[in-house]
Amino acid sequence: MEIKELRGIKGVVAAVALLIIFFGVFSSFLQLEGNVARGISEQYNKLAYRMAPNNLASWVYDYRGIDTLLETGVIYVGAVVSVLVLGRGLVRLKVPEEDEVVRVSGMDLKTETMPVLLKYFALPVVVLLIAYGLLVVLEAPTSGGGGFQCGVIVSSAYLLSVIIYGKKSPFSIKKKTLVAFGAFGWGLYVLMGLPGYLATGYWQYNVGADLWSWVSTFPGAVPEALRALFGDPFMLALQLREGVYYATSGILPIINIGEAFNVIGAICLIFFAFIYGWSDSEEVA
Amino acid sequence: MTIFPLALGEVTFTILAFFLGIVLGTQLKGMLSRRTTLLVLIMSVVAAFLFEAPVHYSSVLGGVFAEHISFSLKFISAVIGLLVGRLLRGGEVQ
Repeated sequence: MEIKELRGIKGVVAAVALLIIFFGVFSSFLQLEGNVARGISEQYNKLAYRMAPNNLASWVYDYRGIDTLLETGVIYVGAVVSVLVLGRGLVRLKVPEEDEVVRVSGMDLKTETMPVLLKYFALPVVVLLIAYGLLVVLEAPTSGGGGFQCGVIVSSAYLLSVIIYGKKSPFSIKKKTLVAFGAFGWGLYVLMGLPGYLATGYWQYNVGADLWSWVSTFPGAVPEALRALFGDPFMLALQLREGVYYATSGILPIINIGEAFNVIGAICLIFFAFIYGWSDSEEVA
Repeated sequence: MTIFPLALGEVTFTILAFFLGIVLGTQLKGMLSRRTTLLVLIMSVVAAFLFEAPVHYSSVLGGVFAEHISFSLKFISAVIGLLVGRLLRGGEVQ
């Protein structure tokens, strides 16, 4: 995309989105004054019965959701910059005409000489690996796992497929799709900050779980409709010794899915640049 | 044995896994024989048994069939989603 393409409606949308995010995130930072307590574990332990089984994930995304958002952004920007450096042709960065683009043919392995084991079992393994990646991201509220791990697992499946099948890889993602995955993932993560900001003034506040509503000094109240919209679909019954408690992970699964797509896009884009090099004509067949 | 889930979270993730599987499945190409498809499905059931249903799941719709028999329906659902997504993109089954 060139700068002049941003002059139309795309530019207006991008500018409005950036302004909303800028004001949201920075006004959230301003409200931190006087609201930060050291040693928060005690407070979170009191909240345990109100949380989905993966208490730790709820902590992480509640206490440092913005931090993780910025990490996710760093990964995506890092990947795009790496691709700009490694494979200019792939992202169609304009190069001086006299600067010749080095053309390297893409990997093309001969599958007819491939060991039988690889030839027939690689594809099922790739399918199961992708499914495992999805399982890992969706298990985040109940056990270990999350978006980063899912992204890396699916990227491994992509790399495995390309290494074994070469250009005829059955799991091939076009570069536009990869960029779209990354942008969608990051956008989804950022967007999940908006309901919390509108309701409480805190960006990335988990409106579904609404963990801090029990604190009298907590500013703002989450409307019941918003809590139901983001909380009820992920509600679980925690059958504890003390009784049965209903707890939800709130927006945690959604931002994990966003994170997963962001990482899939970013890591696969780097693999893509390494595999297809500088050529702007070579794409996955 | 509880048939209906005590909470919606037991079902939502299975549905999400299916749709996310379709999204990524559309990126799968090439031929997949019926035998291989069956192999993938059987392996997914075995894997789902090994992964088990997550903690605090208690209904059949959540994957819990008895005290020590539970399946990770998310995994099976993701595999089915991937295969469906592949078919939507134009992949074929020989």
